[in-house]
Amino acid sequence: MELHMVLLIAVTLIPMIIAAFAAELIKSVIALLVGSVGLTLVLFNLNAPIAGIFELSVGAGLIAVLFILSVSLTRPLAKEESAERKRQHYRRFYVLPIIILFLGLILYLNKDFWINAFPFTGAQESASFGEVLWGRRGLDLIGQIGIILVGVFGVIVLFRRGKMNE
Amino acid sequence: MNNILVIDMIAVILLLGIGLYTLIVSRNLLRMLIGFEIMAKGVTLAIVSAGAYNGKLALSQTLAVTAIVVEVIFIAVALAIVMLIQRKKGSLDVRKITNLKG
Repeated sequence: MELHMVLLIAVTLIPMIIAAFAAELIKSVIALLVGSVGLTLVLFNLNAPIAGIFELSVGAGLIAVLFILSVSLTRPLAKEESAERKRQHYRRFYVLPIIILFLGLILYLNKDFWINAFPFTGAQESASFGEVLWGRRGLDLIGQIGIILVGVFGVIVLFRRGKMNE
Repeated sequence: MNNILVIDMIAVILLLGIGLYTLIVSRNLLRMLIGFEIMAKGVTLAIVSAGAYNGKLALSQTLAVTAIVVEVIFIAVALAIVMLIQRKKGSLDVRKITNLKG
């Protein structure tokens, strides 16, 4: 087993479990950010630096900023209600680490399935990232630009001060 | 390479499991979005590791970049909707914001 890959996957998975398990939203968002950095390291290890840089800048940076802004814009709960919510939250989520541990163990014991499920073709791609992005994919890039504009609209709505806020 | 694919695919399924569990169990809208985000990380890892295994890394990277862009746009629009709900209803609890009867 490649130990470095196991360690990098652990750096990704453990913060993700913490992100789901933490009762406070701000701690969840920070754990998600750390998990994204771990995923970036995994992508670099798989020789995919462009996807890694994109994950780090957009997946970790921009999403963390949007989440932290949203959490800070929401109204905090009263102390008693917050304590009760925390108790309920931990009651719902305490089984998650156990489920993940068992699921991981079962999947690891049946590891031959994955090797047979993905036959290795051995083909090596000669085209570069730029050639694939701009050469092979044409029309869907226009759709992607449209989606980015939708995102801009979403951010404008996020910071709009309307009648409801007054 | 086989061992790395096995580790990656196990990680992908665990990430999808964590995200799905969070989506199903949580009642806070922001936490549900965090669950979606965890699932999206799993999808990105699946695309890139499958491309690295089969020697089509450039194609898998372009698809991963597209997936990340769509994920960010989804989060931006969903957070905007969540903020509007919070301003209107004063709560992020999914049980308190239902108005439809039936």
